[in-house]
Amino acid sequence: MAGRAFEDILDGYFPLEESVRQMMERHRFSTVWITLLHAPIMNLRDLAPTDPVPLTLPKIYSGMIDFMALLGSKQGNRIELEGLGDWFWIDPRDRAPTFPATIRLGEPAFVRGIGLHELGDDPDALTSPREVAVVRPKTSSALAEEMASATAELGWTSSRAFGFGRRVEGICDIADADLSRTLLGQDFTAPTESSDGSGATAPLDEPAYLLVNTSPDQLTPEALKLARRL
Amino acid sequence: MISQKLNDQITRIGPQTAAGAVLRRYWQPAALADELRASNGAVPVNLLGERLALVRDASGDLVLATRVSSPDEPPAHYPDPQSIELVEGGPVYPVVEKKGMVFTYMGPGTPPAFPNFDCFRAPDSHVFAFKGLWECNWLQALEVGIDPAHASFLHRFLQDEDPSDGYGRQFRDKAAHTDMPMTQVLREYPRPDIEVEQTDFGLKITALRHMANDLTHVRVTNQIFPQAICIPMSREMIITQWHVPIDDENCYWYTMFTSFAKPVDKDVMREQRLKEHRLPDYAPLKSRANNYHYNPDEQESLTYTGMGLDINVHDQWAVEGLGPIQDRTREHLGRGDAAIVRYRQMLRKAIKAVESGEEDMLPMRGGADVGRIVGPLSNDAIASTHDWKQASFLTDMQRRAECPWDASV
Repeated sequence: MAGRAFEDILDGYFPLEESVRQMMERHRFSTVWITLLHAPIMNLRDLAPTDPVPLTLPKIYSGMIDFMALLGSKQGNRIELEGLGDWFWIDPRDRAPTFPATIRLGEPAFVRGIGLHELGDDPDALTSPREVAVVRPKTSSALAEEMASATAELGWTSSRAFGFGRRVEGICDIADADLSRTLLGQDFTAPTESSDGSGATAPLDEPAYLLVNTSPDQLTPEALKLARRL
Repeated sequence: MISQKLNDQITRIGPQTAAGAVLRRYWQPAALADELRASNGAVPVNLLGERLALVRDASGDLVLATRVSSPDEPPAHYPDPQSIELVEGGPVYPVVEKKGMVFTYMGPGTPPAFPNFDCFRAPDSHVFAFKGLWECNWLQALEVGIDPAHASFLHRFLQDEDPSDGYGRQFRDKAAHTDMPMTQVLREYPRPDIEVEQTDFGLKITALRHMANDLTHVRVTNQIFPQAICIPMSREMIITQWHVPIDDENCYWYTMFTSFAKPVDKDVMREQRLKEHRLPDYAPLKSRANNYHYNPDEQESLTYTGMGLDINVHDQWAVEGLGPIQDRTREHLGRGDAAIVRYRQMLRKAIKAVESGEEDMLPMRGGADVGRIVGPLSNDAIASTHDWKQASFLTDMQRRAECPWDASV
């Protein structure tokens, strides 16, 4: 699995899904996990996604993403975005339980994240020797133990994990979400004795988690710095 | 393109405002030590929307107290010191004098420690402080300073001066160890790649101008949270500059010029700047009122702006030209504005932290060991393109090693 932690600036003014798509294109990523913080947004009613950016912004069409975690997957020439976020609109009439991926950023937004160059269905992703791995939990319980165990199996001493733990339809309000199996940057340390997750009861059909290597002795200083900032 | 409400949130600084609450959590320059020496009484201070005066309290300590004022006073009003009356029972703020500047803390709780920046570590002989008035909001004044590309346009000189005549002036030295004037580098390579990195104190901003023969010009500047910058002025000196609000629509820049090897020639530095400013309010002689002395002939042959050789005037025109408070409902930033984007994210995060009572999350506050923050590295270097990072670092280390005061990092 080829992937890495990265930082970039998402373009403003375009639909969010288009800005993410262009960013993925720049990096040649097929899948990304990104986090946005404190990013202004604008809801331009009656403006088609392909319309140009207007010159001024009417005051009621504005808001802010306080936090948003997004998983973007390339699907041909477009991308699919799913995520959880906390955002508000100046005009409360704009409130909605989901955040349309066509909403435009009010200015470019700094993002940190993990990008993958390939994301197949290979269940043996744990063998990846790279900076990033995809982990598919085998059980419905003991998530922390599984992540720690996966960290050890990767030959890492520590990792940081990201994943919703379930399929998310679109971009949803994090206040309404079940976060019981969601990981938003939690740290895991490899146990001294590796576990294979025995005691697992049932296979779980759910999305994978992204693990980034934060081991002090296995990465370039630059990659380690980026991983620890996630 | 943000709404007026979101623009107000990051620009307005009076009491009970979001950005004002953040700025009040940090030491703010209030006056120059030169002003204290020139006054035979109180020194009027107009800061963060408050009308104040530097006075001695009953124990002889310098404090910043609220003075009686009238609502129709000009923003940078500088009354006769003898006429200043204090508001009985009004807020009184602590002050400290450092390297020719008087700083005050106007926030709640315990003030943060001062970081060990070069401007504070250098001996008095190696630091010169000055200030100047700009008639615009503090944020647009700061944002021009963290845009590394602007110098190639706004400060473009169509002819190069002899660098040996450039003492005390920005961009008049040679570029790094070469004979190429900085003005030529900026002019001929106007589209830098910009890298921005978060630090303990704010942002490290690196502008890379890729030149001929596989060489790269590296310029490292810094944003110091909440509203200062640290940039190289010449091979010998760096500038640490705060953009300090008088009110929402006016600000002072306060600058410490810090020299590494030789003591600063303060008389020359002061004389150069007093030619461009009036006392006692340090208002620039070139302003909107006189069209910044714009000269189309000069613009054709000498400078991009046609407003003389003082780059401060160029910046002043650019930021004042945006209006008293920049209308960001009509703004279109690009990815080249990376430092501005990153800075605004920091500011909004800080606003949120203060509103949530999580002040320990603010840069250089909480449990941060601020005294260990040194530098920051700030220099120009020209290096092989493949090795620019190391070359930039070594250039700074060499300057510090040759320095008579402890500039080690």
